[in-house]
Amino acid sequence: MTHMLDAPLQDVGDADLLAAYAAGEARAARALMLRLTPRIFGLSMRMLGDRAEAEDVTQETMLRLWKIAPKWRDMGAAPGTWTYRVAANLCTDRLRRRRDAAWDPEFDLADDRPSEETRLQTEARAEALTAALATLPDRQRLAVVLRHLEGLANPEIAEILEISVDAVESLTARGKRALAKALAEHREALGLIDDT
Amino acid sequence: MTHDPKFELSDAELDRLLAEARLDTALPSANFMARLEADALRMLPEPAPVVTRPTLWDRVRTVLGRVALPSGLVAAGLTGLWLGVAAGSGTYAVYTSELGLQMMDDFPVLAGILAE
Repeated sequence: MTHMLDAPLQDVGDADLLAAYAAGEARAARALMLRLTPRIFGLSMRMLGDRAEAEDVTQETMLRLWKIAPKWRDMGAAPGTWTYRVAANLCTDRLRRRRDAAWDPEFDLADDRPSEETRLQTEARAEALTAALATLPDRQRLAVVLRHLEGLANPEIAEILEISVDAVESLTARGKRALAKALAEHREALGLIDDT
Repeated sequence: MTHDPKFELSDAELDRLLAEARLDTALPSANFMARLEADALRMLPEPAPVVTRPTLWDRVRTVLGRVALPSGLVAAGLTGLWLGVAAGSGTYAVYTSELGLQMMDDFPVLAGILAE
């Protein structure tokens, strides 16, 4: 009986890795984890702005993936898309609970970071963007993060959010417009120069 | 689409911010990755047992190992002849072929070598 993973792991697709995991191949577990975890964690951090919460969402997403692995053919989506979808839903659940609890996360710079003018300004811009993203409705924020920060194409975002491609385009356009407005008053402080 | 710079950033300004932020992705810590790997291995399904069927030679060895046949060269020759007859006649037909019947009369143990 041949091993399911005879090819080098970097040449094996996510679905094949998941099938190999379901067949008991430990190497597939590590490969899939290394491939999917940074993306899920990145999305969660951008959505939640809190490392502990992002870790919780990421861990829960991966646990659900391992659990569904034996039925991977019924997932109805590629493992990467499916995990993004689960993480996105977990993030929006948490954001809804925050609003219910009137929780106001702070997006401040750590005070003990060493200063350097350029680095401070870059960090200030990143913090301002994160804070502005937090003012967007959940679905707009998700669409903007997936499109402009995670770099996914509209058809994949449509699959993750389970909406049409047109709806994705509308969400991202509205989200970007809202961001542009939220950041306008900080233009000078952010050191932005309009080259047009 | 025109914008009023007092009230919103331009597309270029926003795109620059977004491009910068795209490069600044938070990464999971090594400790966290180790925890996730432990989860994955804990939930790893058991590999399916490998089922192998004994080959014809496995069965020949089993029979030859259990019973006393005429010594060495004669035994090998007989076994080869028997297998050759089986191949020529077809696995089941050897049991009813004249040569096959004669060989089984002389060496009854040969009947056990071929699978059902």
